[in-house]
Amino acid sequence: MKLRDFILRRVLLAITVVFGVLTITWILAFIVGDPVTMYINENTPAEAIPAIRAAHGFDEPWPVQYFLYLSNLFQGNWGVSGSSSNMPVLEILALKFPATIELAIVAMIFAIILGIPLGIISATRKDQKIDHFTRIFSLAGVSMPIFWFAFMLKYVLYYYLAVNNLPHLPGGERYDTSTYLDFEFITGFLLLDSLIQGNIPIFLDGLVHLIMPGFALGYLTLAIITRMMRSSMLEVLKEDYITLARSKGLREKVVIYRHALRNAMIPTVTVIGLAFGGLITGAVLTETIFNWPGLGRWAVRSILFADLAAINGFTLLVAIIFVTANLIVDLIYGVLDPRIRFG
Amino acid sequence: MENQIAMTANEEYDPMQFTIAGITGMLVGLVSFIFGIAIFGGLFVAGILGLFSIAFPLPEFFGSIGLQGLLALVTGFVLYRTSKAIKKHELWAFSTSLYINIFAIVVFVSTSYPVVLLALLPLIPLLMLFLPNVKTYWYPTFREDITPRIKELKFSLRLVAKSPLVVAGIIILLVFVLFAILAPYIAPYGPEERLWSDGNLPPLSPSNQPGRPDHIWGTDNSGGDVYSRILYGAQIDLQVSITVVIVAVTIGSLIGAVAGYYGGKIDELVMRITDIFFAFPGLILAMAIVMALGERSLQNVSVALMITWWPTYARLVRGQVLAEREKLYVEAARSIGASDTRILLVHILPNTIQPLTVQATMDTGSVLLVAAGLSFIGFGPPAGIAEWGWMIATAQLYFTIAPWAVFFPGFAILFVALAFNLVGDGIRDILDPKLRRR
Repeated sequence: MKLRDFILRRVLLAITVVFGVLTITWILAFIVGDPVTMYINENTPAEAIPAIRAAHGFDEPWPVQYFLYLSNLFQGNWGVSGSSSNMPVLEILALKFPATIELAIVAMIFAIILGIPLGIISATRKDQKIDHFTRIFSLAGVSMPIFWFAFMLKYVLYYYLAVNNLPHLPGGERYDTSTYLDFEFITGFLLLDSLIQGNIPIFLDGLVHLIMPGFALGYLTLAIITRMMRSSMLEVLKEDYITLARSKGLREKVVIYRHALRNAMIPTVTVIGLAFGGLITGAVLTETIFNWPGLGRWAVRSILFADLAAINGFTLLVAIIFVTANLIVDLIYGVLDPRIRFG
Repeated sequence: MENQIAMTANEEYDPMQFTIAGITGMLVGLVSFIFGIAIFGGLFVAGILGLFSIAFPLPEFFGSIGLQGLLALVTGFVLYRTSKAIKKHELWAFSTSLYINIFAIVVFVSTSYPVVLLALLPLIPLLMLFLPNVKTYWYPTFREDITPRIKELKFSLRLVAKSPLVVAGIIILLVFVLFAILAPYIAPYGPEERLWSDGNLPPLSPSNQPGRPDHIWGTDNSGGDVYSRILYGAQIDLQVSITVVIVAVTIGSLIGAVAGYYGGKIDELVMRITDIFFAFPGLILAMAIVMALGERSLQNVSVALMITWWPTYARLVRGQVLAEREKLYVEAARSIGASDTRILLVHILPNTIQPLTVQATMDTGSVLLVAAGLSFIGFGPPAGIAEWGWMIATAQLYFTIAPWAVFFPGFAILFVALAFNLVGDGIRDILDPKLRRR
C-alpha cells in the first residue's frame, strides 16, 4: 500500500469512528437518558415540560431527532450548561481546555523524560537491584489509584510542610490568586501567555503550581512507558543485528543508543499516543483534588448537578481528542515502520 | 474406533453395563437439569421483572443460588449428552462424564441445605463408570492421556511457587478474600455503624463509648470505624470488579470468537464497533453511561463497566481465533463433520484461554481502580455504603485533620490492584512457552 492510500484509509476510518462516537453519545443521552432534563430544573412546572419537549424536537421520531442532534453539533450548538449559569457548552469547553492541556502536557513531559531512561536502564541492567526497584516503582504506578496518590502528595508536600513552616509546594490552583489578579490571558495557556508578556515571576509561579498535579497525573503514564520501554528493549536486545553490532566490537553505549533504541522506541511511541487519553481521564480525578480550573473539575461539578449537556459535551470532546491522538500515532507508525502499511 | 470394533466383536465387553451406566447418567442429568430450571428459571423471570421495577442484583448474582441454578442447568444438559454417548460406547464421553459428575457433586453440595442430599445422585453414574467391564474399556486410554497433563500442571505450580512476586500477589488476594468473607465475624463494628461521639479519632485510640472495641485504624468524620468499613468494603469492591470482568470476558470472547471465525462482514462490523468503544477512555465512557442510566447504584456502575470492558476481550479473542482457525486440527475437526458451534466452543476457544486469563487478571485490577475512581467522583454506590473509593471521597474533606481515613482505604485499593497485576504478570511469564523452559 502506498503511503498516501494508507493515510487516506486511516483518516476515513477515524471519521467513521467519530460518527460512531456521536451515535453512542446520542444513544446515551437521548435513548437511555431523557434529553429534556437539559432544559429544565426543579422549578420548571410539570405542565411546561411537554412544550419544552416539543420546542426542542424531542417528541419527533428518533431518526429526525438523530438528524437534529447531528446538525446541532455541526453548527456548534452543543447545548447550554445549566450548572454553569447557562453558558453554551462549546464556549466553556474552549475556556477550560487550555488549563487541562497544559497540565496533560506537563504530565506527559514528566512521564517521557523519566520513563524512557528508566526503561532503558532497567532493561540493560536486567535482574540487578536497579531493575527490581524500577519494576516495583512502575508496578505501583499501574496499581495506584490516581486520586489517592494525589492526596498523599498534597498531604506531604503541601500540608505537612506548610504546617511545619518549611518551604512547600502550592496546594492547588494554577497560580497564586492573591498576587496576580490582574493577569490577562491571551491563549489560555498560562506558561505561554506569561512568556509572551515577558512576565517571568508569573511564569515561575505557574511552573511551581504545575509540579505536583503534573507529577500526580503523569505517574501512571510514567509507569506504563517504563514497562513498555523495558519489555521492548529486552525484546530488541535479543535480535540478531544487536549480536552482530556487538560482535563488530562496537561499544555497548553505541549498541544500545544507536542500534537498539530506535527499534525499541516504536512500541513506546504508540503507548505514548494512547496514554494521552489516559491523561485526560486522570485529569478528571487530579483536577478535582488540586482545584485545577480545567475540564475535568468542571465535568465532575457538572455530574453533581446532573448537567447532561455538559457531560455530553465533555465526553464528545474527550473522545474526539482521543481519536485524533490515535490517528496521529497510527500515521507516525506507518511512516516509521513501512511494514504496518501492509497489515 | 478400533476399540469399538473390537468391542462389538469381542464378547468380553458386556453392552448391558454400558447401557446401565449411560441411562443412570442420563437420569441424573435430567434431575440436575430440572433442578436447574426450577432455581434459575424462577430467578430469571424474577430478574426480568426486576429489570422493569427494582434493580436486578447483578453483582450479587455470582456466589448466589442463581449461579448454582445456572450451573446445575448446564451440568444436567452436558451430563445427559455424555451419558447418551456412553450408551453408544463413544470413548470421549467417559472422561467427560467423570469430570462432569464430580462437578455436579460440587454444584449440589454448594447449594442450600435441603438439596445437599442430591449430591449423592451423581455418585451413581460415577460408580457405574468403574464397573469392571466399563473400566477396562476406557481407563487405560484415559491414564495415558492424563499423565502428561498432571505432570505439566505440577510443573506450572512449581514455577508459581518459585516466583516470589506471584506468591505475594496470591497471598494478598487470599487475605482480602478472607477479609471479605469473614468481615461479619472479625469486624468490630458494622459497615454503616456510626458512633458520632467518636468522629475523627486517630488510629489505635479507644472508643469514647464505654465497652466498645478500639478503633485500630481510626475513625472517619462521622465516627465510622475505618478498619471495619475496609473489611466490609472488600466484599463490595472484589465482587464488583470480579463480576464485571467475568461478564465482560464472557460477552467479549463470544462476540470476538464469532467475528474472528466467520470473518467477512461480521468481522468488519464488530471491529468497527470495538473501535468506537476504544475511542473513549474507560472512566469517561463508564461515567457517561452511569450518567445516562440516572440512578447511582452498584448495579449501574457494574453495567457501565461491563459495557466499557467487553471490546478489549472481543479484540483479543478475535486475534487468537484468526490465528487458530487456519490450523490443521480445525481442518480435521471440520472434515469429520463437526458443527461450527462445536469447533468454536470445544476446539478453538480453549486455545485462546491463556492470553485471556492474563488479560482478565490484570484487568480486574484496573476495573477496581476505575470503579473506585467512579465512586470518588460521585458515581458509586449509594452514599454511606462501605466502599473504598467512596470512603476516600467522603474523607477527603477532612483530610487535614483525619488523613488516616483517606490513607487506609487507598492502601487497600493499591494492594488489591497490585496483587492482581502481580498475579497477571506472573501467569504470563509462566504460560509463555518461550520463557517456560530455560
